[in-house]
Amino acid sequence: MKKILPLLFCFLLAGIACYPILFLLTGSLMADTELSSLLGPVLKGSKGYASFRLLPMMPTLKHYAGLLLDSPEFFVMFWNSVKLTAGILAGQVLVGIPAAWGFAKYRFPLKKAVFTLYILLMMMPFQVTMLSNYLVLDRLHLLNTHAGIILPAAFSTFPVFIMYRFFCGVPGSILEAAQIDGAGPLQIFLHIGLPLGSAGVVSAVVLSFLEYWNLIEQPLTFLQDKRLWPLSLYLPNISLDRAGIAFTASVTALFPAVLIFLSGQDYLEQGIIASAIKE
Amino acid sequence: MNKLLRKITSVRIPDFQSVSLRQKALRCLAGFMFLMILLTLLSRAARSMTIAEAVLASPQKMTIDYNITANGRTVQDQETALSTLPNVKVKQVHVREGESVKAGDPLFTLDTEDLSAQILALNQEIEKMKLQAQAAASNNRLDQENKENSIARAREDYNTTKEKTDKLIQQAKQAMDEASQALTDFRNKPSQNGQNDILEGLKNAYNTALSQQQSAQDSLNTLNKELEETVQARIQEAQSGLSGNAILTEEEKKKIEAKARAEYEPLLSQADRTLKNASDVSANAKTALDQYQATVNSNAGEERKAQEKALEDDYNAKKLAYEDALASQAESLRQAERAIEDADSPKRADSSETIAKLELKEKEDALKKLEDMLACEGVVTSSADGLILKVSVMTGEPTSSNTSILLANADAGCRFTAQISAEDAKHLNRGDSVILKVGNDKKELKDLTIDTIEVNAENPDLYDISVSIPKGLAQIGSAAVLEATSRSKIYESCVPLSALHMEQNKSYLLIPKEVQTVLGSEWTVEKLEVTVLEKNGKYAALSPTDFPSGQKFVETSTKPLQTGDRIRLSEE
Repeated sequence: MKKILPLLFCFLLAGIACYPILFLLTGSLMADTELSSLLGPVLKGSKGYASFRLLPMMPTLKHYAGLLLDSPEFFVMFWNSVKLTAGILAGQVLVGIPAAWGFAKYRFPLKKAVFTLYILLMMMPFQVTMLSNYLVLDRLHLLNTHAGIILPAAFSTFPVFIMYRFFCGVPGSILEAAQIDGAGPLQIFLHIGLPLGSAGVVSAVVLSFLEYWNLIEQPLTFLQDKRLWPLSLYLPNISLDRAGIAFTASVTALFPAVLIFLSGQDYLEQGIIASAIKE
Repeated sequence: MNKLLRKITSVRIPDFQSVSLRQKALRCLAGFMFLMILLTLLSRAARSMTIAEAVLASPQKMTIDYNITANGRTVQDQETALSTLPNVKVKQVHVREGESVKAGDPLFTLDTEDLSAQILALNQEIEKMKLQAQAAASNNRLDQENKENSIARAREDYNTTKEKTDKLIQQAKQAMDEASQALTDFRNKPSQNGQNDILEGLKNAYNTALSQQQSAQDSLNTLNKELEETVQARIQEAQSGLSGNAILTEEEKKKIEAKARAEYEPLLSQADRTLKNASDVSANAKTALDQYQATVNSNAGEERKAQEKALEDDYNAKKLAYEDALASQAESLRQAERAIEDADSPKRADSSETIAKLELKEKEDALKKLEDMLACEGVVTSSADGLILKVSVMTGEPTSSNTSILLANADAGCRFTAQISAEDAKHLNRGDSVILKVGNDKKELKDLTIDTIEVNAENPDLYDISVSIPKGLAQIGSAAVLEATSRSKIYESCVPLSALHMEQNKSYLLIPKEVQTVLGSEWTVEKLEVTVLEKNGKYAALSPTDFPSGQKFVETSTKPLQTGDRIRLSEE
């Protein structure tokens, strides 16, 4: 009994956390008429209260067919999201990893001040820096381009912070041993630092993927051309009377994020454990 | 990244349980991405299949032509009605309805025996009428002579009356003058001799009065004689005016006499009064003479006064007689003038002679016709080429005065008739050029014009159209097709009817509109309401204000389109 109650409690919490996902899956299989009757008070302002079922009365794959076979704009936005996310992650890997290694293993003047600045910038929400970003991008003629989204995100401070913590965990003695053996800084970074800090890198990549896959504010602000919009802007673009399509698009958009998380779950766990042990 | 890719691509799953969750997730992710690539292509292919391809076009500047065709038939343009002598028995009919004949062809034959009998009867009638005409002419001459005699007699009476009354007046004047002179003389020179003179004067006055009385009596007698003669003359005139052996009745004679007497009454009255006056004057003159003679033996003073009184009375009486004579003359002359006018008044119109002559002429004409027909042995021929429409004569039956044969005259050409709808009739007018295709070989007749377009009497939704065809171009009874083209004015904006749509009694066109979508620049369609000014079966003319210059519209599409539908452009 003692073991069952906590388990039940955990299941309950997990169920509450997973309910929105179930909501999406169920809704994506419901017909339009059933959705209208259940969500009418919300979508169309009809009288009564909205309700929902766990299992659809009239399941149909019509929305999947309509979205995946008859909505090329969805795929345009999907590949825009893939392009943006891949570009940002690549940029973060190229720029953030050396920056984190530098902060973790090197001493240079104003290191603390710069790192503090990094932390401050990391804590600032987008709305605070939106105007300055807009002006800079406009001056650089990067407005209404994917580069205007990718470049600022590639130089994001959050992955630097994540990887910095992991690079700090690399023992200094190993680096010294490598130096004694004649390894240069680059060799030390590539052959010792990266492998030992790979958990942090993957963690940062996974977390960045989850963040930038759902990016909304920057594309909405800096991209006027709809052809450049990512998938995160497809859902708000759908009218509410197409709720079935909206559910299906949400499920489809969720899929890559789940897969990426599952593929990087081990590293995330390792990173959390390692940081906990270290601390 | 290369290592990661190598790991992903080198898929080796010897044992599913040995593959870690990470690898499974990565493989699923790879499969998912591959699936998304595939679905991307499929969705684009499906979209390209569902998007309609639209052909754009621009409005044209042109006229709206109406091509009207009508099927009809040629009919006769002119009909000739052939008639013949009435009431003649028909011996044989050579034609029937619908048969074509040429000029001179026999149509039917009349019975020659019947013709001969009618000729004989007609000759006899003509003889009678000739005699009647002669009698009417001689009666008219006699009436004219009587009238002339009456006029001469009235004039003579007038002259006679004037002479006599002049004479009476002269006598009365003379008597008056003498009496006046006697009175004057008596007053101036009264003496014994004067007594003898007075006596002589009274004797003369008396004699004069006697002669006047006699003259008045003669005038009266003359008037009575004239009255008798006039009555007789009028009776005779009335008798001659009667036709045949009719005679005047006693009552009619009395009426004539009474009328004549009434006319002469004023003259007779005046003559009586003149006679009476003359008698009075004569009596007075006698009395005066007797009294004078009686007073010759009386005292001188009283005798003179009495003599003077007698002379004065005599003078007054003569004066009165003179005035009466004047009045009598005026009245007598007036009556005589009236008698002249009455004699000269136009007599009642008598057209019996003219009527007789006309009837005679008519009979002679009819006789001529009968003789001519007999000379042709009773055969009635056609006067022109044509088609027999109606045969009203029957073998063995007498002919009537109506039309015997109704012939469609081929010499006058023919006429094409057809019916067209009211909608087509709006675009055609009298005088418009048309083309006819006549007969089985569809021979084209050009440069023909429409003669009439009228509402059909039985169906007001149809119009009867007719076109005259000159002689020799077509036969009566042929089927033909009319082709006419009516052109409207030039319109700036004309579109094909296939591009025009209707919704709630409003016309609209679909025009392309470029929109920016996630897939880039795409074309959609939207409605543009237009006003149709005129249209035929192919094109519609639009109001130029409804359609912007340079704007194109969707002429045709591979699928039905609604507002907002995406299209793929294909310009012609």
